[in-house]
Amino acid sequence: MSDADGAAGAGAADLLALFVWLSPAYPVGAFAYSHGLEWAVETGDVGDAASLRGWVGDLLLHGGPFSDAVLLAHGWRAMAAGDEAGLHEVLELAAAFAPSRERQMETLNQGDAFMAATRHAWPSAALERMAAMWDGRVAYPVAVGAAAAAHALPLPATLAAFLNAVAANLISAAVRLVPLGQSDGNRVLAALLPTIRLAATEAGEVPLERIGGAALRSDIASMRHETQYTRLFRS
Amino acid sequence: MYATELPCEPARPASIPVERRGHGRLSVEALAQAGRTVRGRIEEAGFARARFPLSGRRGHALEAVLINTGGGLAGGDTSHTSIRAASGAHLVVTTQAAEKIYRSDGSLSRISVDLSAGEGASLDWMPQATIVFDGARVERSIAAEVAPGGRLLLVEPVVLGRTARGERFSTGRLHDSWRVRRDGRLIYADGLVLDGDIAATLDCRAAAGGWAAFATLLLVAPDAEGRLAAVRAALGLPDGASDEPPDVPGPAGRGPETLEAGASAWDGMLSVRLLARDGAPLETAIRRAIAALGVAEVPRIWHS
Repeated sequence: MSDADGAAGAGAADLLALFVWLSPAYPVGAFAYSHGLEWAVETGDVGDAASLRGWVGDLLLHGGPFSDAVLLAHGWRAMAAGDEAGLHEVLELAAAFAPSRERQMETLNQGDAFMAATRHAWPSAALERMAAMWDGRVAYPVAVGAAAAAHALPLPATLAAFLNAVAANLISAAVRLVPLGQSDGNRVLAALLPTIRLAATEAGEVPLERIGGAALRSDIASMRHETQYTRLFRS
Repeated sequence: MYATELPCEPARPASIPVERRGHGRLSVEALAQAGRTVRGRIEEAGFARARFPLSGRRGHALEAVLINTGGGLAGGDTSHTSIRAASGAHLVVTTQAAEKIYRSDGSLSRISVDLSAGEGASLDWMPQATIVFDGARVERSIAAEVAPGGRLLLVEPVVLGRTARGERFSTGRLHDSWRVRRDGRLIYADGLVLDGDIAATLDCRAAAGGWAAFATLLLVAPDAEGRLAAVRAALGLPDGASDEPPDVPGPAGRGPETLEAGASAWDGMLSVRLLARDGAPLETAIRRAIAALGVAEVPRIWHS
């Protein structure tokens, strides 16, 4: 991270938009997606607080959320630099970077919803330029990164807030699915904060061509979820 | 005192002089001609060769068998393969043997594969497994372009460590990057990254749960999505049309079986992810999935 990422000088007031955009109340429908976790609960891979912490921690460091954070960082930097070619590249890569039908739907549905809500309520010329330049669907992390840059929100805080929101959403899904108590869910999220910080720092350093992870069983879970007999979640 | 390393395999391999590093370049082109597929321009350099056995001919297809005369890749070696099935051609590409990526002296081996299927062409890329020795450092990129109405099948098995002798891939680096374009538009991208404490990463439950072999199959074809039910059935997966609750593995997700599989289809593509305890159940599952896809046969050389 460098000063170009807006790391320095951001007071709490500057981050208020992030609190709004990444709260469960923002209308992206995050509550409907489990990123394959619903299948992992079905198989018993996630069945208590300890296994939930392990599964979500794996995803933060090696899974879809880590790759999403890499995409967010590149979207942020391209937008902040006014680099249209770079923004086009990350928009295209993010829309295609999905191992299964439901994982692609999860990121594109939330991304489109985030763009619609943010262009309406938090208009900015930079986001309008992006919408005019790119006629495809927008993956969720790129939408968040581009909007944050358009509103001069610092990248490190955006990365951490994004990963925190993703982790909280997965934990919330598990609380309903396992089921777990709310206090168990809260303890898991608190225990994951160091992992969230680590993933945010590491993802910010990954070149776009080196994006990737190792969460093969999470990918398979998202595929198996497509035919899961009873489902509460869309992914 | 007991020696823990074989004399031929020092704990830290000596650095290989730059001039002794191997570089392979191969370019194969297949053309449609009078109802069958024939060789076009072929270029071979370094350790890379291509052969076109008559036994590999099936229907209108031409089969190319790629050979690495160096026997594998060491640190610093590079391999570049470019395969083109021109308009209307049907080309099947496989390898003579599993590709071994040896323990590195610290430098990176680089593999790049460029695939192109023209209009109405079929390109089946079905190499035998890549075996990644402990301590190997390798980056591989696969870039494919499919023209409208073209078909591409990618099958890439990877086995981490020489599992038969109990070796695990626990240190080194593996980066595998896939980019597939159709009519110029990026439709599929994938990245696998293993570095740092690789054994710990592979042990993660959401990663590989300690298993050592995996493969991705990707079919890009106008009718790819219509083949999903058959592939799922061949892998013992429910197809979604069933009204019966499926059998689900027991607690901790794994019974006595040695394979986990998932299949999905979207946007004119079909993707299968396979994860196995070692190479044998992986290959069995790949054979089943290829047979169920119904667009290609397992190359004959896989049987030898």
